[in-house]
Amino acid sequence: MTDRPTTHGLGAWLKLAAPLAILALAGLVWIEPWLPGAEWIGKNLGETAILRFSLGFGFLYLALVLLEQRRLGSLFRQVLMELKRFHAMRSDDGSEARREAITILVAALESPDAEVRENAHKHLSRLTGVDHGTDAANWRVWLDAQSRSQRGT
Amino acid sequence: MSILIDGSTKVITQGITGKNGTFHSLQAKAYGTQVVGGVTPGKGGTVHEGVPVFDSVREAVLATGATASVIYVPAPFTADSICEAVDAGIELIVAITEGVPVLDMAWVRDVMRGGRSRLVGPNCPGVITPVSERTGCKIGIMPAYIHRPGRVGVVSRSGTLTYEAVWQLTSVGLGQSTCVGIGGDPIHGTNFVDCLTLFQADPATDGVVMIGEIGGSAEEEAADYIRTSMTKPVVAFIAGATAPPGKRMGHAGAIISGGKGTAADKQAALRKAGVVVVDTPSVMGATMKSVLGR
Amino acid sequence: MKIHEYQSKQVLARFGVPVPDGIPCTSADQAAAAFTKLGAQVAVVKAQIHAGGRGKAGGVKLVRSAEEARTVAKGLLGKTLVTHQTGPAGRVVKQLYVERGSDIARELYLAVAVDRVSLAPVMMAAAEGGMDIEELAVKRPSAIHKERIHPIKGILPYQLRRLAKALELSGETARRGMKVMQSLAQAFVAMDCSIAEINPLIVTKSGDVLALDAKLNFDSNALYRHEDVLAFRDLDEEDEEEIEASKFGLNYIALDGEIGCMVNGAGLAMATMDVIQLKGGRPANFLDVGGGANKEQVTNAFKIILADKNVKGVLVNIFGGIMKCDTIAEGVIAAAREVHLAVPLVVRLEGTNVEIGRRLLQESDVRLETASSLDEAAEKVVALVEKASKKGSH
Repeated sequence: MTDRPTTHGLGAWLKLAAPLAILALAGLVWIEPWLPGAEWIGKNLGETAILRFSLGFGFLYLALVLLEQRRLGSLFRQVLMELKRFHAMRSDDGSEARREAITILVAALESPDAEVRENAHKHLSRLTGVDHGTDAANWRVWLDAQSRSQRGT
Repeated sequence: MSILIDGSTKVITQGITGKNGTFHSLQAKAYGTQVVGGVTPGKGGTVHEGVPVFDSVREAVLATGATASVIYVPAPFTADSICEAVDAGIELIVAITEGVPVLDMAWVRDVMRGGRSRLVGPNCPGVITPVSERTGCKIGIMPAYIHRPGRVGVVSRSGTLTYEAVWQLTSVGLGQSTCVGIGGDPIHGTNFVDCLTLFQADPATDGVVMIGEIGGSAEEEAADYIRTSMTKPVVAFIAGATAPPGKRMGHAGAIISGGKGTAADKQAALRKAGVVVVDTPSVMGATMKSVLGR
Repeated sequence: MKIHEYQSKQVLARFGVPVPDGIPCTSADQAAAAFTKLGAQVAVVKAQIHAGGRGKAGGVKLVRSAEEARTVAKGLLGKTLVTHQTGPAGRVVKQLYVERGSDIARELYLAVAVDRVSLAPVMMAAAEGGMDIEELAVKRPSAIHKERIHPIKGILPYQLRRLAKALELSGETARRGMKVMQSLAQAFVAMDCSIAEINPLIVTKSGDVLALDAKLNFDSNALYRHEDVLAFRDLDEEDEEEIEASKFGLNYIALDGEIGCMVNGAGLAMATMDVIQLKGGRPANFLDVGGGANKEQVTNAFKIILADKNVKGVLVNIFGGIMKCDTIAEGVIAAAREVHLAVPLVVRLEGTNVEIGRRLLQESDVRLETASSLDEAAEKVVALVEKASKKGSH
């Protein structure tokens, strides 16, 4: 993903500083007399300076929040996709389609090519979540037992 | 026997989770084709319509031992998919997708040069070898039911016109050994000469129906090959005899063929090579029957 | 996709091809102002239409003053130009290009196109450029020198030297010419062109090399990655019915016969036209409804066919594979009702669900003939059209 905002440098600094600054300025406006230096600001920069600062920082903060939201959005989409994928795997569980797919990979365990046997085994384990080795016969026994128990329920 | 594919060919589908990939993979499976895997990046480890899905062609090949691949991905990604299949060592790549940019195919051809992969298409109906009355190996979008096992090879640049020829061969009781739609794009993989060479060497093929179109010089090259190296009979039809010249072509298009590429030129070249050229597509099957009966 | 000459020159200039100064105009006043702005002794007013052969048709004129530019522009705008590439209907001129005149010493030909034989773009050059290049290609193909362009590496220096020699260029002019060739090859590949042509490429009396005319066509399949090219599209220049057809995903080309055809697949469509001609009729169009057409598309295809007033009969030839015959039959019946079909209609269906399709056609109240083979269908529609025209003349 390339639409991620920078998480270092000026952007990150502003992101940290902006809410603090806003809080500080809001404090200046509302609880002025308690704060040290409030009088000095009011006297030297004028009363409206505080308002202008806080507005400016507010907008800056809003912009950053929007950027952050986009990043969160894409993160959220990724999570959603993973969930969908997980769901797709689960819903196939035990179904005819899944059995067919497993049968194809079990057949590949009997390939004359050692590399194919090895990879078929890897993918079988990934697909089924169990491991019955590289012997196709073992897998067939397991598959039969699976479909029998499926029919039983 | 047959050419390119037979009943034992293991096929993977690139773009299996798309609309076309799903539909045609199911059709192919229903016809008895060994569809052993599908590829959709990001969906590896799942199952789609009873076929295990992999993230890459290499993974699919390594886990299933597939030797053929069919491509249904959208046109902008087709060149990439072909190269991925080449890289994974796929022997036969059939690209169905239409609308692939011509210059993409130019560099794909360059990537493929000297390699052992063979490309059919893009923009083609695919390849089919009927094995029994209702089963066979079908890699592509052709309607399976019109095919019957037989001893005539079909090679064509057109889609529906191929079905027309196949249907006639079936109707007159001849059937087909293998049918190859090579596609009509300016730059494509397997050409007429490649297919004719394979048919000539195939003991299960007695004759070939060849369907050409106007434009280019593929038919003239085929005529050269037939004249010098082919002993099996060939029946040919060239579509577009009455198409208006250069409706969509400017100077450069007309120049590059050097005034070649008309139907009359192609018919003459083929006749000179001993090919039986028919004027109407309605008699392709009957003509083949009478040629073989001689 | 085609674009205008002045747009082609803008694109080529971006890649480093030298072109004469020029200003596009849409009115006589603009043309006069353009002449003044160019500040040249001589300028050329060129009609901008999407077709070649403008020079012979009077679409390119020399002017020597702003007043003359205005008069010439007035004469050209709105005029219908008929060239060998426009067809007999011609094209109405809506835009002009006023360009600085050049001192021509020699006229050359330079073009790039995709070659089906070498499976790559090929650069073509001829020392005799100008108007009669098509004739030259047929009469003396050896006069056109060709070099294959590598799709990734482009054109190589040794090839440029060979091309320059073929064009009889030498010294500084050869160097400039080779730069033009290299730029043209780059532009072709980078912009996904289908044709890039400079005719003529001129050598001026001072030894400069300039593209006096330029034509770029683009691969419509690659337009998705060239938004800047799409902005050049001029719908005025395209055939109305063809635009309408492309909206519905139909491939339509108007011809001048009287039998309308609706077919699926380009090859079968061409074959159908061939058989009609063989049986003594003349096809009114080429129409490919594509592989996966639905009822609406069939209806729209019918409307487009019948919009052509020359159509005296319609032949539908569908080989249903993915597209089922009953769908086609429903579409044909619906369309025939909707447009109150007044001309004879012959339908030939074959393929998936053909039995249901034929039954639907026979049981409908629409007057049509069916046929079981392409030959029979063509014979029927030709006979029906002849009968109708005889009746009409009595």
